[in-house]
This record gives sequence, structure tokens and C-alpha cells, in this order.
Amino acid sequence: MKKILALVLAMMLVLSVSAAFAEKAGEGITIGVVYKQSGNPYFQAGVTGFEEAAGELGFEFMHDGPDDGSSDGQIRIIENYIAQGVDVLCVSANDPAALVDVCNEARAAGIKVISWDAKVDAEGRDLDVEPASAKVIGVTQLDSLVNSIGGEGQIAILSAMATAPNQNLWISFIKEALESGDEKYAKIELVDTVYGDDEYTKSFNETQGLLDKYPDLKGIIVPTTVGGPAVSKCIQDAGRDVKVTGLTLASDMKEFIDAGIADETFLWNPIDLGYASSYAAVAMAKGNFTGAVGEKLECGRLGELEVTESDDGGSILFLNKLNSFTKDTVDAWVDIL
Amino acid sequence: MQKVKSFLKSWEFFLILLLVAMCVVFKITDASRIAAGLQKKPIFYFANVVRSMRPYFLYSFMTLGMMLILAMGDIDISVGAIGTLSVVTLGVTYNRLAGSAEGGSPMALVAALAACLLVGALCGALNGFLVTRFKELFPMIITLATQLFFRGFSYLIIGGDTLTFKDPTFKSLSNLNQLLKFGDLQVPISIPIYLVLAVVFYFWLHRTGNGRKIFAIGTNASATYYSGVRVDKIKFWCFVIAGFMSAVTGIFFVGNSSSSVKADIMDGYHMYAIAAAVLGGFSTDGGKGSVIGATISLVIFGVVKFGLGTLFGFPDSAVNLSVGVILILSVLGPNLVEDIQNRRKVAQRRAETARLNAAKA
Repeated sequence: MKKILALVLAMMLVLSVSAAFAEKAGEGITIGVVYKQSGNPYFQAGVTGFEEAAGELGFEFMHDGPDDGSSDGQIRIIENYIAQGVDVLCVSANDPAALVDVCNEARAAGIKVISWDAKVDAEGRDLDVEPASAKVIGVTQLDSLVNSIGGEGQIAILSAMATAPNQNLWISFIKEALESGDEKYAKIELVDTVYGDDEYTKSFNETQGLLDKYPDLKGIIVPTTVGGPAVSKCIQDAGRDVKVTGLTLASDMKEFIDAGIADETFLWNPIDLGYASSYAAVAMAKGNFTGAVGEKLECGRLGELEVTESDDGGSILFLNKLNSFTKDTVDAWVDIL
Repeated sequence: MQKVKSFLKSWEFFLILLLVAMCVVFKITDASRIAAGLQKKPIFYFANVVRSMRPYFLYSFMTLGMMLILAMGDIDISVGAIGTLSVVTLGVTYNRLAGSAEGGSPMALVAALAACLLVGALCGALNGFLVTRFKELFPMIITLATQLFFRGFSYLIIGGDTLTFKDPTFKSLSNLNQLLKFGDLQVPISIPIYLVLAVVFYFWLHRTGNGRKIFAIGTNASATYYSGVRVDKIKFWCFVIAGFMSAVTGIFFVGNSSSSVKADIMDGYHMYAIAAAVLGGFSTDGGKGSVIGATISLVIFGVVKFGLGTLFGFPDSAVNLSVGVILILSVLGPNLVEDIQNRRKVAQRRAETARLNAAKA
């Protein structure tokens, strides 16, 4: 009798354990994560995103990056992952072109290739996972500044080089939003766009020019990491009540966020990138997601995301959620970004 | 019988033992990891190892050049930078010649490859000229200077950009990265090409008078000079060949990088080349070493890096520690053995003298 009872109990245990395992979608899947450089806090944060998703999905992953940030180091690591027979590669490429051949070899061996954070060219990947579309990047900064200045007043933009393609694209979406006739932008006037060439001193001087020229200026959008601290420092020195937002490093902006010059600034979130890449990887390995344009993917806490066409002709998955640094959150990011 | 005996005492035999020992350790690890459920399928089996040798045979051609330099008792740490400057020349020349020709231009590729090899040889010639002309300077210092010069010059030409080529003609360089398929076996194309070159180098270095002169220079340059050998001329040409082999390495590197060119590539490759040559029996003292030894060493380093990376989970940045450990042990090992033998002899003689003295008394 005791034996039968023990047997029944043991069977129940086995069943419940296997049931618990079966619930996890990524069981038995191995992901090889390759990032640009080992020891880089940005990618260590990215790895915590993979860890978080591994806890939810139950897959296993390995991660590595070359110490010199070279492409041939990444090729070595990818070759090792191919030899180990991983199911999916998630690569943040040091060079979009150099990794194409080795990634295609991996794909020929039945391995899915996802690039995250920094793309592999379209012909060498199945999907690219990136923070946000140009439109979201532009409009998020605009909305934050509009909020900061109470929805009313003159604003300006300090960009990088006049020819910088990314910045120009973001700015075009900011202008598009302002001209869209949306009620919340009705009392906002974009008075000027100046260029700091990603140099601290030039950015500082251009800001001084803006402050002199527009005595009623209420806010500046700075979509470049070099410009953020230069603009903020200039405003602080001038003692003006002008708000700053933009794409900045948390470490650069902490003192200005604490001083109230900036209420909120933004950058990518490597944790979310790793997390979303994991969900895409598991879905691909399971075969119920191919990464084709128009497909939708359930990404855990990030909700449902849609694959769109990338400007290089491949497919891309945007998280469309920027990482926001405010008085409350900036401290946690200072050592990472 | 005598031949077998001397083979069993040779450095090459020791290297083969080392390789076999490592393979056994990795094989056991592989099996025990599967038994422990840490991996699903075997990793360390012949076909997989051969296929994975590709990144570690990139610098094999550079190693051939380095052997000549070390055999003469010199050193050349600029070989990686020569490779870089050569492939930068390759990319820029091709861009200039092919222009926007539809589908690329095979003639332009041939010309660009020739320019690449020529630049490699010229860089080597500069090293050779400086080393033979300014004998009071160590080759180490001279090639350190030229290394910085070549790499800086590469950046001057193309900056931090990556030169990428979409046309099929230039992309054909990716064929150098191909795997030759023999049934289940996939052999990186660089291995057979290296073996052919290694045979040529073997007969030249070990079987011809000119080759032996290179070792003679390393043993005693003055004595060689006074016995009528034109030391400087041989030295000069050895540096030229080393530069040329760096350019060859560079071309394979371009194939490995999906036919793209950058100015920061092959940084540190001179160290891999020196390490393989030194484990192969060459030394900076000159006068010794063998092509066979260096070839086995290339395999040893490839196998140990592959095994540590895949089976022991070493990060890529740490696998090079194995190179350091193997080098130190392989250099220290023979010295220690000799040391122990010497001490034993001394102790024997002392004991004998003491016995004789005692007998006298």
C-alpha cells in the first residue's frame, strides 16, 4: 500500500514538474548572444534583459563579445556558437557588412539570426530588433518638452551636424507633428534649428546664441548625446528658465536633471532590447514566427509588437519605447549609460 | 632505428603528444558534459574541430613569414599592420579602378590584388632596409615604429569607415572563406592552401643551401658573414617575404569579413604569428625551429582555443591565456629538464669525488 502511495505521489510530482516545464515556451532552446565588446556596461544591461526573459520563457543562453570590439572577434564567437549548435543567434554587430557571410552560414545550418541594437545587413539576418522608429524618437522628445514647459511657448532644436541623417530624420518628424494641427501643439512655436556639430564648445556657443536671440525661449530639444550637457550647462550659467530634453547619456545629464534644467531625457533601453530579442528568438526557434514584415509578436511585458520594413529592405522590430531618465530613474542608469 | 629514436626525442614529437593529450582532455570533457546534461549533442568531434579551425588559420600565412624572421634571430611586430595597409590598398585601388562598372570588373580585382601584394612586399622591404642599414637599432624597435606608421597610414587613407563592396566580382573574395566539402567533412579552404605553401617553405628552409643560410645567420651572423654569405641581402629578402605573406593573410581576412575592409583589422595578429612560430621551436635567439613544428602549433592553438571557448565556456577575450600558459610551459619545460639533468650530473661528480677522497684518506 505504501509503495503504491509513493508511486502515485512520485508520478504526480513528475507530472506537475513536467507541466511546469511545458508551460515555458522556450524550454530546450539555446540562444547565442553576441555583443560588441565584453565588459561594456551597456551590454551587461542588455544581458540582464536576456536573463529576465530566460526566467519567463525557460530557454538557455550563452553570451560573449570580443575584448577589442572587432568584427573578426565576433566572427570567431559566432563560429563557436555554430559549432555548439545553438538554435538562435542574437548579434549586436560591430560592423553591419563584415558579419553577413558568417551569419548566412549559420542560417544555412538552420540557425535563426537576429540582430539587436546594431544591425547585421539585411541579407545576413532574419530580423533586426531596435529601440524605436524615427517618428517615435522625434515625437517622444517633442511631447516630453511640451509637457515640461506647460504646453505653451517658443522652442528650438540643437542638433549634431547639419548633414547627420538620423538627426535630420527625427527633426523632420518633430516638424511634421507640429504642423499636424494637433491641439496639444497649438501654442508651441519652433523658432530655430541650430547645429553644434557634436562638439561641446560649438554646442555651448550655439545655445548662447539662441538664448540671446530669443528672450522668450522656453525649451530646447537636443537629439544628440554630446549636445545635451553643453546646452544644459549654458542655460545653467545664464540662469535662464529654459527646459531641455533630448537623447542623452544618464551620466552626462544627472547633474542637470537634479538641478531641474531637464525634467526628462531619453536614450535606448538595452534591457528591453535583450528582453524583446529573446521573445523573438524563442518564437522563431519554435517556428511560429518568421520575422516577416507585418507579422505580430507577443513580447511579454512589452506587449504586442509589429514587424515593419527597415530602410535597408530587411525586416525590423521596433520596441517604440524609449528609456526615460527623470529625477527618480536617472540614478539607476548613471553607471550603465 | 636511429631515426625513430631521434624522432621520439624531437620537439615535433613532443608537440604531437601535447596535441593528442589536449584532444583527449577535450573529448572526455565533451562526453562528461553530455552525460551531465549540460549539452545536447557532442561538440568536440573531428569534423566540427576541422571546420572551426578557420579563424585560427587566418594568420597561418603570417606565421610562415614570421618563421624566416625568427630563424635569423630577428623579430617583426609590424606584420599585422602590413596586412591592414595591404588590404586597405586592395579596397581603395579596386574602388578607383572598377568605379561604377556594372557587376564589377575582374581586371580591376586582379590589379588591386597585385597592388595589395606589392604594398605588402614594399612594407617588408622598408623593414628590411631599416633593419640592415641601422644595425645599432633592435628590429623590435624598428618594426614597432613601422607598425605604428603602417596602421596610422591605413587610417589616413580610409579613416574609421568600413569599405563595403556589393558587386559580385569583389565579393568573390568571400570564396577564400569557403568550406570544401568532403562528405560530412568541411575543410576551410585556407588549410590546403597553407599546407601547399608550408611544403614549399619546408623544402626551402630545411633542404636548400639558401634556407640553411637563414638558420646560420640566426646562429652566428658574424661567422656566417665571414664565411662569405651575404647576410644583409638575405635578411632584406626575408623581411620582404614576411611582408608579402602578411598581404596574403590580409586577402584571406577580407574574405573572412564578408569582403569588407576596415583600418582597425588584424590588430594583434603579429602576436598570434609569433606565438605559433615560437611554440613550433623557433626562438628570438635564432638558428632553430621547423616548419612542421610551427604547423602543429597552429593546430594546437586552434584546438585549445576552440575547446576552451566551446566546452569550458571561456569568453573569447580569455582564451588567449591558454596561449600564454602553453608558451611559458613549453619554453620553461625543456630548460627545467636540462637544469635537473645538470644538477644530477654535478651531484654525481661530487659524490664520486667524495668517494675518491675518502678512499685516499
